[in-house]
Amino acid sequence: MSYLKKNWISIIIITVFLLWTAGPILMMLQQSIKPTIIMFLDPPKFVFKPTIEHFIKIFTKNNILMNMKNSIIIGSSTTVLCLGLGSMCAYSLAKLRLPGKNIWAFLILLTRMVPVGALMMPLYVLMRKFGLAGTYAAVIIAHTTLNLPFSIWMMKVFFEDVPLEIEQAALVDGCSKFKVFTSIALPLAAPGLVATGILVLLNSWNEFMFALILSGRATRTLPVGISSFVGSVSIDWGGSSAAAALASIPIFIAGILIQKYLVRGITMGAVKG
Amino acid sequence: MRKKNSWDKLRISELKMGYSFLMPAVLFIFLFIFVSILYSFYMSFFQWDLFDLGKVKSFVGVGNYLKTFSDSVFKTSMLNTILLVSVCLIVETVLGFLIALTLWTMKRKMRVVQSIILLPMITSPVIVGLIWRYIYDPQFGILNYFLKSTFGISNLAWLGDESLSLLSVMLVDVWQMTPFVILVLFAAMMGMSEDCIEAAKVDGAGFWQVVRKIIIPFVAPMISFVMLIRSMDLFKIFDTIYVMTKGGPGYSTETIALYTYKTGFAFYDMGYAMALSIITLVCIATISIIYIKRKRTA
Repeated sequence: MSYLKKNWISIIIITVFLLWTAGPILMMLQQSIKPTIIMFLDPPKFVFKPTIEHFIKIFTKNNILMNMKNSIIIGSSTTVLCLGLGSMCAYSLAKLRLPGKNIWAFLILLTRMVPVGALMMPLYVLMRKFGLAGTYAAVIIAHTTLNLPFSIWMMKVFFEDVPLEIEQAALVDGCSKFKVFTSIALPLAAPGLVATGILVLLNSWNEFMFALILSGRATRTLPVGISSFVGSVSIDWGGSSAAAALASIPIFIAGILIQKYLVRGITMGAVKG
Repeated sequence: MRKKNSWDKLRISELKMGYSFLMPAVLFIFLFIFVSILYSFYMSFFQWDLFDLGKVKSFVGVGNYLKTFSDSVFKTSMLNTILLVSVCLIVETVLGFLIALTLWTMKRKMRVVQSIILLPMITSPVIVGLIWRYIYDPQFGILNYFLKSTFGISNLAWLGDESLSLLSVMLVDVWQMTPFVILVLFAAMMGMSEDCIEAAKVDGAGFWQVVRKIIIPFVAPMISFVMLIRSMDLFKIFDTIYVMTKGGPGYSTETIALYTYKTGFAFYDMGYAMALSIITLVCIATISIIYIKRKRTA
């Protein structure tokens, strides 16, 4: 093993870095179960009897369940749309012989570069004009627009990894091109598609700017709901921590369980793009 | 003859399927992205407001663009954005590289370390902003408590003081996004062949020599890619700042995305907001073009 003698320095550096990374999140989690009476003690108390008062409050008073339902509806619709439209598009770019398909692929890549800051205003006005502002559809369309280009590029790579020989063998056996797509390419690329879908779901679940301007009172997502805890001067520490914990814990669990795919998805753009 | 016919048929069916597969997604993207951009470009030449969505509009030519020259808030927010982008970019890249390097010297795929590193990245920016508002809180925040008990410095208003607020906001982005740099660079380093490094060591190269002469050149393309992605993301930073300071105090943390948002939704000056959108677009396009050109010449 190389440079083993440096290992103890490495361990110290990594430990400090991990504490710095995990600390704020742990703080948020412990705050969500901290009784209000000891929330603002000086010095702060780190050992206490946990309470669920904040969770009860956000469920009864702040309608956080509705935000959660909205986030689930918007997130899953966006994922289905991105995977549906995206997988077909990616497959045709990866495997079918189309004139000028490289130009299409390049144009799609180009849209990935478009800053969302520049889309915020026009999309809002267009949605109002279509009469969609405040509906689920508006947020779903915005989230799909943001995620579709990168999911096409990601899935294109996964379809390219499907061996051509298997597809050709199926064609020789009399499969139609469409059948090849549905019963060979899709199942073989499935792990990659799942990884793409998870990233899309994550992005939609966390997205704030478009959800803020496009959603109405009844379609607010979790991040928008959480941001409403923050006044300009004061914050409801317990309530907002509980809401934040509620929104993050599913993601943390899912993120750790599917870590391999997630890291692959995040780093793939860098390694293969 | 018959054979050629069936070949043609196959080709035509492939084309048919190809286009019917390609077009739905392409149309979707083009409808919402290109139409949006064209629309905002067109509407940036008019003076109109949010209430009637431009039913009443007056042509002002490039007036909205000229306005940026005399708009001191625009200049401040542009300067803030550029400062934010450059400082965060440098700190995140250097720190990310060093941590990735440290992980690499430990030569293990560490699931636990990776899980923890992932957490800030997958946390919603709104929640990140919220968490750091607790930490920065001048009265009850953990940061001031820590500073007071160890150094005796008391009650700094991290987000409330104009000279500190931008720095505080930068630190949050460094906290959240350095992990991204680490993950990408670590993945790249794990892809290096061991032989080359062993050979260098046999020839008597020290650790830093190996880093300088082998590792940095090897991961250089990844570094520049990460920097491109990060600078594009940083340029449009909105969520965390919206939650933490809403651009204040004064205009000390106003970024271009926040200012665009306020111009439209708080001042109802949509023509100007559209012009700001187009300016953002041009800035980011310039960054990408510089990157692509450099990549070609390299």
